Formats: sequence, C-alpha cells, structure tokens
Amino acid sequence: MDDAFSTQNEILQIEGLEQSYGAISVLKGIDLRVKKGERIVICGPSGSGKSTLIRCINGLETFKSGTIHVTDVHHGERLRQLKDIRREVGMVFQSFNLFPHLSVVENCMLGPVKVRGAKKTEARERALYFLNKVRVLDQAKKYPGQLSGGQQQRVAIARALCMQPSIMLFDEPTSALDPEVVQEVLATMVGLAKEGMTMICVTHEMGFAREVADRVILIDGGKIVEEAAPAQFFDTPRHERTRAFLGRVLRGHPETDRGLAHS
Amino acid sequence: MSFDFAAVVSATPYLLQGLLFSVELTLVAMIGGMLLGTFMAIIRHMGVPVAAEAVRAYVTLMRSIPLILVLFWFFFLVPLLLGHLTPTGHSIPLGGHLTPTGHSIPLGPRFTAFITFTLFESAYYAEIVRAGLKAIDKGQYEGAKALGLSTSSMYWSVVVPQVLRATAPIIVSQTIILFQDTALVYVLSLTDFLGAAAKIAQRDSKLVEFYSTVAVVYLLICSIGSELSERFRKKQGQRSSNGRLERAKRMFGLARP
Repeated sequence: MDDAFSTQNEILQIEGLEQSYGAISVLKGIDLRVKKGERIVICGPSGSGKSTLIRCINGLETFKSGTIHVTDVHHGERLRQLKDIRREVGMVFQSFNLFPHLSVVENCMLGPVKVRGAKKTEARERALYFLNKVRVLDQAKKYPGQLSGGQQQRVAIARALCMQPSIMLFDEPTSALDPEVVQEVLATMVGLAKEGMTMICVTHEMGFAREVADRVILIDGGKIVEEAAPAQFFDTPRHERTRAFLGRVLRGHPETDRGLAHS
Repeated sequence: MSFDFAAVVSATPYLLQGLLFSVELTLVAMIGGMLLGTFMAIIRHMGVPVAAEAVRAYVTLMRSIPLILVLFWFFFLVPLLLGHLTPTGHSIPLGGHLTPTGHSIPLGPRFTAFITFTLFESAYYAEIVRAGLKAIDKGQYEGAKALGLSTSSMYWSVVVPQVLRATAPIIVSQTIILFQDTALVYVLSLTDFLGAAAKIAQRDSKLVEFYSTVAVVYLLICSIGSELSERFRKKQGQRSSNGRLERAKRMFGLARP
C-alpha cells in the first residue's frame, strides 16, 4: 500500500543505467528513484560520471543499457518520447548556454512559444514573472553578453522555469562563476527548492547540499557509493571513499560545512 | 584624347536596364542560394544518411567547375537530357522558346540564368554556413535541445541566426563576387550592365568612357554593399558592452563572460 503510493509519486526512475565510451566504462549500473518534490544533490570526483548521469535523463547523452522513466507531474503520465521528456525536464548548464542573439526576455519566451505553443503575450508575461522571481527583471531587455555571470545563470534558471517543468536538473551551475556571485545563484536555487520544485543538482557546493538536499549521493567510478540524508552523509558517512571525498572538498572551505547561513 | 561623357549620358537608360538585370540576378541568386545553401549545410551538419553524401558530392562538383561551364551545361545539355526523357526525343530548350509540341514556353535565357546562378552560388553559401555551424558552441545546441525545441526550431531560431551574423563578412564578399560574375550571362545572349556598356561602347567607339564608367559603378556598388554590412555588424556589436571581438569570442564559446 505504502509502496504503491510512493511509486505513484515518483517522477524519475532510473534502473541499471550503464554507459561506456569505447573501453572506458562511465556508468556501471545506476539505480535512482526520485519522488515529487525531492531535492537530490549528486557529488563526486571529476570524471566519476555524475554529469553523464543527469545528461542521460533528458537525452543529451545516450546510454548502453538500463531504463529511465520520467513522469509528467502535471498529468501523472509516464513520458515515452524524447521531445515530451525534454519539455518536462528543465536543465541549467555550467556554461549557461543562453542564446546570445536573443534578449533576456526572448531567451525565456522561445521554449514556451515554440514547444508549448504559448501565445507571445502570455509567454512574455510568464517570462517577466520568472525573471522577477530570480531578480533580473531590470535586465529583461538586455542581451546575455551584457550581463554578469551570476545574472546570466539566473536568467538560465528562469528560462528553464518558463517551461514549467516537472523536474529541474542542474549540471554544476556555479562552477563557471566568480566566487563572489556563487551565492546569488545558490540563493535562487534554495528559493526554488523551498517552493517544492523537484531538483537534481550536480554540484560541489556542500553547504547547499547540507541545507536543501533530501538526499546526497556520491558517485565514484560510475557507481553510487553512498546515498544518505545530508546529516548522515556529512557527519557519519558509511564509506571510506565518501570520507576521503569530503575531506578533499571541504578542506579550505570550512564555512561551507556549516551551511548557507547567510543566504 | 578627350572623354565624351555625353555618349554615356545618352546611353544611360540602356545601361540602367542592364544594371537592373545584374542586380535582379544577384538578389535572386543570393536569396535563393542562401536558402538552398543553408538547407544543404544543415543536411550535412546533421549527417542525414545518403542526403549528406549527395550534398557533399554536389558542392564539390559545383565548386570545381567554372561558372561559365555550368551556364553552358544548363543551357545546352540539360534540355538535351530532358529531351531524351520525353517520348518525342526532341531536346527541351530551357533557354529556348519552343516545347517539343511547338508551343512557346515562357522560360527564356533569363530563367536559365536565375536557376544556374542560384544552384551555383548555393554550393558556395553551403560551405560558408557549414563552417559557421561547426564553429557555434556545442552548448547552444544543447541549450536548445534541453528546452525541448524541435530540430528545425533549433536550427532556425537558435543556430542559423548566430551563424549568419558570424559569417556575414564572408557572405558579403561571396555576394560581391556573385555580382561581378553576373557579367557572364553574355554567353546566354543576355544583356547585363557590363554587356550593355560593351555593346554601346563598340557601337560608338567610346571604349574608354564606357569601361571607365562601368568600373566606377561596380566600385561604388560594391563599396556601398561592404559599408552597409559593416554598419549592420557594428549595430549588432553595440549590443555587447565589451565590444565586437568579445562578442564574437563569446559566440564561439572562447571567452568566459
């Protein structure tokens, strides 16, 4: 009974996901289930396959074997086609990937107009709503090149939100940012998490993980090494590899260990 | 020796008629060639099976044959080939005025010129656009896909506009070459600007006056074309506070914003 209910609530089901490039195995059987409203943080050393994992979800990478099921949170149906999955899965990239020839507001309108068939006035209204939400409304008419990195990344978040996705993927959203603007992007993500958005974040921001994650996952060598609530993950990790990873990441960043008190 | 510009002035209406045709042919071949070329470039870029190879062969063929030969080929050989496909076995003159049944058809040498120039130029535009498609940052394609855009929306709304802006200078210089190449229509007995001037110059024995005038007009038109495209680029560049170079770099993902 309880089990059936939880399956119904699952937005994302990944089973036995494997991928390799030539002889190099990148993912060696990943299982992951994400419920509606859950916030998952995935971390791991570079080359561990964490980016590949979330890029498989919306088909930016192919995989050798295994299954990925995405459920439309609005209608509760399991999505079969890649175009439907991409419509329901929002993604924020490390390098923003805003379209430089379109203004900020046009960047946010393109998806809803072309994919969801929204009217331009309606799409513009929604774009302005989300731009206001990520606090870049005053930049709406500018072009991405005129914005700072932090502003660009917040526009990228707004652009993904305009599609009203069922789930949001973040692929190292703060790694390309200057240290002083990392916090403004993290604060936007924290706000999003508090509103109940289902999120999967690949990030090294351990403070963010501790504050908002329901589960923290460590991937190493293409496998899930540890999967636990943040308190357990950071304070009493079960695996030696997790301890070693945390030791490397947290060294020099003692403040992140305490969470994002100021965000 | 003295310049007799009165002769040039009195021939102006005829010259303008020739110039009009040159411009018309340039515009048709540019617009048609760009559309067809972009389409072919996308087919190659996507690696559509068979079609991509066909486009590659077509582009190689067109680019290795002199334009004048392509003109001859279309004017004389294509009608012959088409004729073999019809029951009567007569050649169908694309550039002529008779069908095998003896009825006149509205397609003349002008039609041949428009078709040939469009097809020929499309091969060059295809290579320019293809280079641009390759130069666009992978992230732009991924950003478009992640939004759920269809392949056609991804190309037409996201990638191609950026490609056209980045390759604008090369497209302009290719179009200038095209404009000058329109003079070759004399082989189809068509009168372009240079052809019109040459005819009057020989009739009136005013070679220096007419050929000088023609040179000056070509120079003016091509300079104005370059200048306009440069202004357009500058206007685009103003969108970035960091100047054009930074913008170009960012477009290709070379610089961190």
